[in-house]
Amino acid sequence: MELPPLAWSVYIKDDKVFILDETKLPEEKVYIAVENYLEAAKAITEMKTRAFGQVLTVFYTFLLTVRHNRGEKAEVILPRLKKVGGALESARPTFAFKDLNKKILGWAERAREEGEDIPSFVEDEILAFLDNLKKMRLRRADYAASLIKDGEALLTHCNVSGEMVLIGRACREAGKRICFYATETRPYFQGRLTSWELAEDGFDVTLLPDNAVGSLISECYCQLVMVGSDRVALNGDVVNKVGTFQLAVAAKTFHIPFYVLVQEPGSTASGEEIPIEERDVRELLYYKGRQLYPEKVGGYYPAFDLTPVSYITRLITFGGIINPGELPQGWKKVQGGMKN
Amino acid sequence: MPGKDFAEFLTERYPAEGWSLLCAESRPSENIINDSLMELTSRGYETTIISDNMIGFTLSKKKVDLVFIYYHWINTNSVYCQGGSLLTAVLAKELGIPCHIYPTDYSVKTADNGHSICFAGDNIVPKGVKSFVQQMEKVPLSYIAKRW
Repeated sequence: MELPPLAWSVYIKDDKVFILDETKLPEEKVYIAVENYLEAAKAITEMKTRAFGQVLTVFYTFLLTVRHNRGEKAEVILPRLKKVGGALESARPTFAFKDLNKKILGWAERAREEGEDIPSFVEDEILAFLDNLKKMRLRRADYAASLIKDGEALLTHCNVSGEMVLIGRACREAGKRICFYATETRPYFQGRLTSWELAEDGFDVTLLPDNAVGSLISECYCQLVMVGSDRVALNGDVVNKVGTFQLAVAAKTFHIPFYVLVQEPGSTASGEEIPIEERDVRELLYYKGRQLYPEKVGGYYPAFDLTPVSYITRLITFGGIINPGELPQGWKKVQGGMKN
Repeated sequence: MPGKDFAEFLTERYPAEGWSLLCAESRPSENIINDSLMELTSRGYETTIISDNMIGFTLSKKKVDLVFIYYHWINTNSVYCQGGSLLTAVLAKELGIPCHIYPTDYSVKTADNGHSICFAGDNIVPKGVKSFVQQMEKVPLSYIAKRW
């Protein structure tokens, strides 16, 4: 099965990493050729890639690094890998780059301890991990699809890197006809990407301004909300693109379920511990180089928000569906499926 | 979108010396607030724009003490306001912030559902995608703390 472009938006070829430039979509499908970790970190900082694309960028950047350092001894390659991890970690503050770096550096340490060739060992681990990750995302899409009934309309926010398409396909395979609503998601309009990729795959999809969700939900245009997440804490709090929280409040107020696709929780106990990135307000106040608002008007641009677990109906993990009421034991129940 | 007399009202009741303003973009008509913004800044208000998807976060962070939405007409149960007002009122209530209504003479355009939503003059709806816009919304009075 061919994956939608955003579901696997990064690849490696001829000693370069190619990152799909999401800021150019849907008008142009352009890949940025990245030759080193500094360029990769820059692509993340500038939001050329985001969400799952960031995860892929991290793994492929480490893959590039180990390929550039074939045959190097531990004392050379380990500091280099740490340097790469540091640069990626500082690219954006909210996403759990630290956890990904820890995983990869852990493989390198293990190779050293076991006397293996570090570059080859890490390369094999990365490739195996990515292969498994692809399977896990497909499986999570199946879990998500099981929550949607025939004839329902789903509201989503931002862009879940191709996963809404996978969920739609899983519904279609099960004989369920569903349709989608996507919020535009200012200031980068990632909702355009969601609506574009769904329309490309033949789904009925409608784009709406972020402030229209009150009417949409209260007037029963949609029967459920489903979003992705950048981070999830052990208590089930979720951090995702700003605007997620208000969807959760609207869903709760008007009595429809609010589902969140999540990854491994890592070690963060509560969502309050997760830093919320504040981005340059020029990204909000300008559009295509043109100033939108009068000179003396300031801006405020938090890139993410926190949705407390009390607003969440179910968490959809790689290992199954968790009722937030079952936490923290719920994580243990699905842990087997989430192991990489 | 406030009416012509709102700045005057604000200056009298909530003067710039004690209050600063956070203004939501009010999509899909983001540019229409520019006249109001210029008027408010000229009266000395420190004025900050947020996009509409940041309202919930901003309210949850206790950055706001009072919310205003603007109404066109009112009946015994509801007020009729510009699109986006319902969500704002719901959020204010959920987060324990009083939501006030103030009348507006701003003329709301008819809804343009179909295949376009514009931003700064560009249609941002991809090919094959529909659009949903509510220019007017009914807000139950149960969400409103005070009517001006």
